[in-house]
Amino acid sequence: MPILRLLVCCSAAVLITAVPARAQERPYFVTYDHYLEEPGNLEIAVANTIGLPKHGDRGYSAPWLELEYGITGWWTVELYLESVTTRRDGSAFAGWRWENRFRPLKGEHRINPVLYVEYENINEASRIQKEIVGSGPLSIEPIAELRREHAHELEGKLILSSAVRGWNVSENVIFEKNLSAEEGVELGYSVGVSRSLGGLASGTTCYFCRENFVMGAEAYGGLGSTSERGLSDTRHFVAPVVGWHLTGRSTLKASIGFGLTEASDRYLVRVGWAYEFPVRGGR
Amino acid sequence: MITNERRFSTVSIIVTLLVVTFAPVVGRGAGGQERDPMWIAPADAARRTNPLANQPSAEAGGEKLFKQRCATCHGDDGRGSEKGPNLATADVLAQTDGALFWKISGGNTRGGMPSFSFLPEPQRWQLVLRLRELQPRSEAVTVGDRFADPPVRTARSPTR
Repeated sequence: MPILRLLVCCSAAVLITAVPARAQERPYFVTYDHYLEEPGNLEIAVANTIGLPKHGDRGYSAPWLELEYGITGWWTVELYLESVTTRRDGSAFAGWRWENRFRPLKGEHRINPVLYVEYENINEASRIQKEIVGSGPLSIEPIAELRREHAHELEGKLILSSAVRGWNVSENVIFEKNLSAEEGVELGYSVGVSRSLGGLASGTTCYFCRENFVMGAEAYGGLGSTSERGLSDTRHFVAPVVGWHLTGRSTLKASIGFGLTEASDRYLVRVGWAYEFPVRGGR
Repeated sequence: MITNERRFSTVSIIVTLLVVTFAPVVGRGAGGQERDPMWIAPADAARRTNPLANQPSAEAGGEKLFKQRCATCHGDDGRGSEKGPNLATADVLAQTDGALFWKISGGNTRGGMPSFSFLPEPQRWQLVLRLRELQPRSEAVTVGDRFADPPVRTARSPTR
């Protein structure tokens, strides 16, 4: 936890001294579109996933810190630090993730592919659910026990995204391999649609005008694994999403995911705030 | 298991160090002042005209959008920075509104120019309006003459 606190303090210091850049944060929490971070820009985001399970199981809160940096126009890296806390079960650092997204094609196309590769060094207490793969409900063992079960995972995604008449339509296919255990490749999906509510931009600064809002919905879930065929006991959610560009630099977003199957939590409430600024070049 | 974990931790640290070391080097090669000569709008895209051409009320929004979306790289005055090239040049401003709109929309990932297709279409046309404002009055006639063929389809008269 001291690492998290240090990072939050450093982030706050950077924010105070940063120069403006317009955040282009997607409204989705799980689905990725084809828009990468601008080269030389750093985005710092804090978010939280609050899970409300069924059958009176313990609820949980899983906050995470996300640092996203645009290395080039076609390559973006992200580092995640995540933790988890439950009502009567204490808190734990749940691990880190290192993500890379590559956009192989030069310009805009009808369908824009992005390749995604992520290495995860997490433990079984992880609850942020940035993606859902495989099958089976989340474990309800105590956090103290779950955090002892480490997992090194390699995750790949094929991201397909299109801009269609003002709408963004994105589809992600997810493959995840736990390198620490003898198990198959787990599969998952997410799809999202969203659009800006604005038309013409107004000439003045405004907070509540339509152009500052993006709305949409996403659906995500697991598709079993190569060793366990079938969709039984898989988790699926559908979630309306909303993004609000608070200022030129920051975006607030929220969603409520509704569990669609018996294995799914009843609700996944997500809230996030992102702040983007240039750290290299620019003015 | 412990051996595996140690191995993965070592690999993770090495990879992270590699990225931290080489990312700035790789990044320096992207974007910047250089232009991509192969970045040319298709003819049908270049022929499109700006639907906001006769709406002066849209210009203020273009100014705001330019500051939010473009100034970080191209500067408040559009004359460039170490991240992005000068836009107030004859070769940029001689391009048609449709070509500028196409470039704003699609970007050029190889050149470091992001895609702005997530912006509503009217807002991208507002940015084109703002780009036309970059054209210095004294240069307008010159640009129009030098790039007379193909004809310059701008939101405003090039002699303004």
